[in-house]
Amino acid sequence: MEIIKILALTNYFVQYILLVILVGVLVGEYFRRKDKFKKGLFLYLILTVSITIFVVLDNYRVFVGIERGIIMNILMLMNTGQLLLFIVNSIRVWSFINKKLFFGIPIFVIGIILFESGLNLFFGDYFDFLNIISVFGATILYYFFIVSFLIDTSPKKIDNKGNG
Amino acid sequence: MINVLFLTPPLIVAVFLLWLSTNLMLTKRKIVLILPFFVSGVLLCLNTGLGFYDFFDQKIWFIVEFGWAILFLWIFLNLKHYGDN
Repeated sequence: MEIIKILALTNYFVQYILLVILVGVLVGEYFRRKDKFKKGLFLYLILTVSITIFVVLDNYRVFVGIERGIIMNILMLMNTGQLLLFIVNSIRVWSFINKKLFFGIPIFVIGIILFESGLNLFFGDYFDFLNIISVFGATILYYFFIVSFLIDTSPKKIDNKGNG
Repeated sequence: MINVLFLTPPLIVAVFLLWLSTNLMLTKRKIVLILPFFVSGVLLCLNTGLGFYDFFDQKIWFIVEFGWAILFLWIFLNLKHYGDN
């Protein structure tokens, strides 16, 4: 197997484990909390589950070596839906989210894409490698985005805010 | 088959580390103190993934071991703060 393919598959492996743990944490928090502390939690849970499914499908696609066809369209549609859900739900709970991480995700990914396109003029070999880093970085940022959201909406923190 | 046998224990430890560190992040205040354990979980997971796909390149292992060294240093420098929580 090519080195770049092994790196991509390993990246998906790590992402998959991180996302499954995040789903576990979100489910735990969802059932532990009272109703008034659950705002936005359910949609983030759905989003995380859908990203996990996306990662599994994309992993399969890379493993088998499919680069065109219906699965690409399905994955692209899934990605678009996830992005929309992410933005809509984040606007709903705007006061509780970490803005630096919220804006950090697109800035990081767009930055990598720009860097890639610049680099591709001179060193075409690093293109796939940077792609892998960008996907991995976006997942890590998303992970901490959700963790910071859970910290900011925790009953302890909201009660402390209410008491001044 | 032999890969699966040897790589399952580190994978279990990695999942446990990630799970525990994420839950600690939610309950404790200082994320900087818990972050090295999260990163070590990610590194262990990366190790397992690379081993699983038979990628035993010395350069990669060197980078991963260097990552461990940095993490030990990170924990060591913050050692005095661990009793604060």
